[in-house]
Amino acid sequence: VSTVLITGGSVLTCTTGSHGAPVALWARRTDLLVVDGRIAELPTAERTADEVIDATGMLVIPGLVQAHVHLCQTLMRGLADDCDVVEWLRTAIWPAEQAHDEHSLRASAELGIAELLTSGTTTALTMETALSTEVVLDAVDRLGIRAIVGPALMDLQEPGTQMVAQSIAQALATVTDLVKHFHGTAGGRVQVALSPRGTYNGTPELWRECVRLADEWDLRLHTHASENAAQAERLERTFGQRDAQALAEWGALGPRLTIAHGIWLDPAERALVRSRGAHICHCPTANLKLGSGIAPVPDYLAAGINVALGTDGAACNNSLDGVAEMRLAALLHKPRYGPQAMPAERVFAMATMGGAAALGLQDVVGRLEPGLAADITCLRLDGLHVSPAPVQPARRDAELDAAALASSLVYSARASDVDTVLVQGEVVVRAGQLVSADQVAISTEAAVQRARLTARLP
Amino acid sequence: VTLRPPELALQTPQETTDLHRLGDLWQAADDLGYRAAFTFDHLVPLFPGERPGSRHDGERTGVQLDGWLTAAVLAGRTRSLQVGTLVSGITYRPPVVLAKLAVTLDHATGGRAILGVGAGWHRAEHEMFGLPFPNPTDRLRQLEETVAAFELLCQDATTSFRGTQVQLQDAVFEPKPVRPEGIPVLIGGSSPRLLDVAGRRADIYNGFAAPGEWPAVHDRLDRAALDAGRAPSDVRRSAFVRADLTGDDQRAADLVEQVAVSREEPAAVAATRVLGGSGDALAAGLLRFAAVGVDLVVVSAGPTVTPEDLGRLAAARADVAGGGAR
Repeated sequence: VSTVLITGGSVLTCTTGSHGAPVALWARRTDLLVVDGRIAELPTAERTADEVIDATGMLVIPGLVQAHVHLCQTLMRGLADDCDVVEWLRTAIWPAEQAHDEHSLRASAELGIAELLTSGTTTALTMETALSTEVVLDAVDRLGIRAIVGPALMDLQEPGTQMVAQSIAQALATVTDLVKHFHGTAGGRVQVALSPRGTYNGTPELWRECVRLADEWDLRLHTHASENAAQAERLERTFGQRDAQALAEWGALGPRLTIAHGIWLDPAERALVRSRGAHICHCPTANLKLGSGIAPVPDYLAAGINVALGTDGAACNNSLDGVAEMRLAALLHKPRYGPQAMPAERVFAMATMGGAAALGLQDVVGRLEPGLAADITCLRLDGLHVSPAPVQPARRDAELDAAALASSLVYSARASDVDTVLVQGEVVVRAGQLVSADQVAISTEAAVQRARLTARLP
Repeated sequence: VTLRPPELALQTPQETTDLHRLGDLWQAADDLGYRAAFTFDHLVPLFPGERPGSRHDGERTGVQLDGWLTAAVLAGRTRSLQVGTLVSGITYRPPVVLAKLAVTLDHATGGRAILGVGAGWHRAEHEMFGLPFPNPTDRLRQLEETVAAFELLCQDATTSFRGTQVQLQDAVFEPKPVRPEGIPVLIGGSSPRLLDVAGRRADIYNGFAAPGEWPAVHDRLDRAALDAGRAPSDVRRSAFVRADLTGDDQRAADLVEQVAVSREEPAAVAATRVLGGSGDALAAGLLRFAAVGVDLVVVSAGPTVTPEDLGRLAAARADVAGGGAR
């Protein structure tokens, strides 16, 4: 039995808040006792453990959950800026994905995971490229993040790009192999998802097969939909249906599905998403940077749709910083919906419970409660940029001003404030540095593989 | 199972202007089937026994020729030895200059160059000549990025690399190495973090460990190699060994004593890391390193070493190699 005690911190967690439900926060000056990877209790009396982490002066939150990431694109950071998604795919990202080999993919995944963990994200739903996804899953296993990883599946070409389509048989054989080798390994920390790349580049047959397998193996579905207005309209012209309607017809629109972006859903689509219980992952930075649009997230939340947050890939964000993403998600909607829209507490709920629900992990992560996995992020709140921090009672078990803590986190904190991160009870970041691998080695290898990758580009 | 003795190499510090004498040693080593010969790469002569962490005072006397030019000249006396420096601190020259030296030596020798590099340790000579001497963390990073950049330059038509210490922009580097697999990179040194870099990047690791210390060295190298997605066997293991090759037991005992004093360790430990004495003793010494998985033994060939001494070591090795192998 291994035990970890996190002492002296300000513990902040949501207790409700997914699916648009009112957000309830809970904040205490309390210790957290971790036993065998799970939160065992929030002890009111003095306890000891194998490892004691002094979190005095720190904010202790559930590790952030990102519901849309591409680890394979981390190496492509800054490769194509200031263009729309089709141009971005056509000129840079798709050629670069095709130029990946196992070495560059591994470097990309390791860099991405290192960035996610050191910036406080402990769980990610990530869509990879068509090939060699086992390399990414292996990196997930070794570096200690919790992730649901799927190769991008597509049997139709994206118009205007040179993207290569696979046969359904090829695509499914790949996934089947990954499920057999990786799904549920590392104590459930490593999982495999079915990730048709988009509504517009999978045939109905591919989609139906994915749905069948997802049901059979209890897997998550992850796709891009309604990201770019032109793409969304094109599907309507081709299939006579908009994204959500098509997904519903294929049987995909349900609680297993996370739709990345979901910017251009019309009212009928929103109603469908709501009634079928699918999730939307809001990616505000990527949406702004590619000029895709602004998802009407307050409307989705008001309708009762569960919304999660994601940075998307470093190729379009250009960072995987979940803390910065919270700040943008809070600010972005205020000009249209008013300053009361998207308060810090709501965004914090999206970044934790919302993500957990989207990933089907609502009983595993996203909150700090006994019985849940010890996926925990501790941030220092002593930087100039968060000062003066709200004055809070110092005595053990005192109730704290949760709204003030959420404000510090969402509006003031930075990823560089992240000090300690645990995933499944294992310390993966200490004093802001990755402990599960050598950060310098990762960044050096990333520079090497970036050079190799760009040398292979046509 | 019969132990296969390590292959042999020598290092000839060019603390002399008599290149003809050094050339005789290299030629002898070449004829005797040694695997490699190295110069060393410093700007001033070292004090006897001077090494990382040791303290010395007094006037530095003697000469020091450039390691790379000397290696190029001496290589002209050889046909099959691999040649290089053991090792070049990455603080002396910009990465591209080092890379140019290595690829030039490679072409001069028909594909026999080794690029030997280390993180640099000789603070005094940096201070003497005003060379920057960064902290160990930055030097290790510079070492790793230098090696990474070297490999890219040797492989790609143009290279753009953005490291923290080394930057290349559309860099053109021709000619490429003679061998399709490139120029082997040897990383030398002994700190744990250097072992990590070697495990990740080196084709050959060279260290000063005594046989009893090698298991821990292997562990660290193997772990770093595996973490980097390499096989531990991708990193060959080389031991730098102080040697008295005169065949004289008393002189061998004196060397053990000298090493014990300078390293502040028991003579029994010093005796395991030193090669010396009769042919049997030399053979036993080589097998001590073979037993702990060392592939290559580099003997330090100081000013008194003769071609006959090198022959004595080669013969001792042949005696235990079996089947008449050299």
